[in-house]
Amino acid sequence: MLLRTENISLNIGGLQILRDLNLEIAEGKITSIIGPNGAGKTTLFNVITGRMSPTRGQVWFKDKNIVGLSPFRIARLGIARSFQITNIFERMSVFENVCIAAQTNFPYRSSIFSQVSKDVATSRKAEEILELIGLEQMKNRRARELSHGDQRRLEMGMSLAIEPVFLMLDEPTSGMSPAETAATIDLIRSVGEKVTICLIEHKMNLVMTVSDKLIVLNLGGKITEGSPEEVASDERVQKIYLGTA
Amino acid sequence: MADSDVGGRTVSNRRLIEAAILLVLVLLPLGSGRLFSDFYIALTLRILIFGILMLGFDLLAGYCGLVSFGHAMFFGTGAYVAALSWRYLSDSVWVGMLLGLGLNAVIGYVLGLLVVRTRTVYFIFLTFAFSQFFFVTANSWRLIGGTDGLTGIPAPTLVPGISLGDRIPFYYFSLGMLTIAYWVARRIVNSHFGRVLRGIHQNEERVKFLGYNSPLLIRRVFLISGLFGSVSGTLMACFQPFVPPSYYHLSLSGEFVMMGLLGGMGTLVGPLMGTAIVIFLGDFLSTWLKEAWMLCLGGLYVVCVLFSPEGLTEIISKLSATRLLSKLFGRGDRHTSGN
Repeated sequence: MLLRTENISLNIGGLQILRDLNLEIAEGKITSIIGPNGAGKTTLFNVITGRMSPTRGQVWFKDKNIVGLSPFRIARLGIARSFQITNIFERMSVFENVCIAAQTNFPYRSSIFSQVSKDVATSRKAEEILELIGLEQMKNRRARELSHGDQRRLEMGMSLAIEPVFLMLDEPTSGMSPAETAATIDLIRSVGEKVTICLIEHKMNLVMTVSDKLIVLNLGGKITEGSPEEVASDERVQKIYLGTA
Repeated sequence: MADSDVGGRTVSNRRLIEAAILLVLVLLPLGSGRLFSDFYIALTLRILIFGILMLGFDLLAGYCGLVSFGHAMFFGTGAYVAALSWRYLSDSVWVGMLLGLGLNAVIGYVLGLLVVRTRTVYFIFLTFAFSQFFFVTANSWRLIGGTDGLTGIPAPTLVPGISLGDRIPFYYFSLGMLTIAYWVARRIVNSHFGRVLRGIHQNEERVKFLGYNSPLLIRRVFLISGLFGSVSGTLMACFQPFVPPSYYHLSLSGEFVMMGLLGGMGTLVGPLMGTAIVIFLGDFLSTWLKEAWMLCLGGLYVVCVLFSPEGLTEIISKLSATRLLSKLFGRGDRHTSGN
C-alpha cells in the first residue's frame, strides 16, 4: 500500500464533510474517486495534501503519518497534485512554469547563488515534460495566453515535473474538448505506467477506461470500492447516480 | 511585471544601457564646476544612495509582491549604527557598515518571523507599525540624541588617508556600492531563488504545493531587502554628518513606496528611475513651489497609477526605447526582430 487513510473525519461548523474514511491506494495503480457533487472528493484531496487538517484520523504514506505536515513537506515526500481550478503562474512563460517545478529536484532549488541561465539540468527536464504534455510549441508563450485545455495540461506537467511517486489529479479534463480529453487520457495512461495516480473525475467513460480501481464517495462516506465492472454493477452506486425511482 | 529574460537580445540591450548609464555616472564629476555646479553632484549622490535601498525594496515588493511600508527602519538603523561607530569606535567606514548590516540582519531576522505571517494590507501595516516603534525609540532616547538626532558625526575613512568627507572619493565610493548592489540584486533575481520569489508573487499556494517552504523564502528576501536599506543608511550618515530621527519616519517609508510605484516595480531599473525622478523633481519644483511641490508629485503619481500601473518602465517599453537604441547603435536589424 502506498497510501492509506485511517478513519478520516472532517467536521466544519457542525457539518460532517468526511466520515470515517478508510481508503487504500495501491502502488503502481490508477485509482479513481467518483461521487456526486458535495461527496467530499476534493476535500479528501485537501486533507491528504495538507491543505486541510482532519478532525480525526490518520493518513499513512509509505508507513509515515502525514497528518499535520505542511503542504510543502508533503510535496517533498513525493505527493504532487493538480487543482480543480487551474492553478498556474499566469504571468510566467510556459517554460518557466515547468522550470519552477522541475528545479525542485535539485539541491539548488531555491538557492540565491545559482543562476537559472546556467542550469542545464532543469531546462532539460522541463523540455522533456513539455514534450510529454505536447506543449513544446507554446514554450515561450505566457501561461495565461494558453487555451483552457492547454492550461490544464500545463498544470499536470508541473505536477509531473517534481517527479512525484504519487500524483493526485483533481478533474484533469474538466472543461476540455473531446479531442483534448482523449489526449489527456493517453497521457494519464502513459504516466500511470511509472507513477501511482489517484484522480477525481466526473466523465464516466474516462474513469471506466483508465482506472484499475474505483472508490465511490457520497455525503463524505465511502459507498463501495472495486474494479470498474464491480462498481458499475453495484446497485447502491446506480441509485446515487440515477436517483431512486 | 517581473518578466524573465527570454532570449539574448533583451539581455544584451539591457547590458548596453547599463554600461552607458554607468559611464555617464563615472564621468559626471569631471563636469562638476565646469559644465554644472557641484550641487548636481550632491543631488546625484542622493539618488545613488537611495537607489541602493530601492533595489532591496524592489526584491521584496516588486518580485515577491510584499510592499513594505516600514523600510525606513533599516535605513535609519544603518545610519544610526554607523554614525555611533564612527564617533565612538573607529573612523573606518567598513566598521560602521558591517555593524549596521549586523544589527539589521538581526532586526530582519526577528521581524521576519512576525511579518511572514501576514500578506497584502496586513503586511503593509505590520511593517509600518514596526518602523514607528523605531521612530518613537530614536525620537525619545536621549543617548542617541533624541529629537535632535546625532550631530557632528566625524567623516569616516575608506582606508587610512582617504576621507569620505571629501566629495569626490565619496561619490565614487557610493557609485561603487550601488554598482555592487545592482549586480547582487540582478544575480538574486536571476537565481533559482528569484524565480521562486516571482512564483510566490503570482501564486503562493502553487509554490507551496510544488514543495517550497514559502514562508522561509519570504523571511529570507525580507532580510536581504533590509540589508540593502542598511547600506543605504550608512552612506547617508556619511553624506550628511547628521542623523535625525526622521530617518525612521513613515514619510520616508512612504517615499520609497512612491519611488517604486512611479518607476515600475519588479524590474530593478524601474525603482532606480523612480528614485531619480522623485529626487530631481523634488529639488527643482521645491525651489519654486516650496511645500506645494508634493502636489505635483502626487499628480504625477495619480497619472502614473491610472495610465501606467506598472510605472515608467512600462511606458518606456511601450515606446520601445530599446528598439530605438538598437536602431541608433545597431546595424538595422529590422529583418531579425520578429516580435
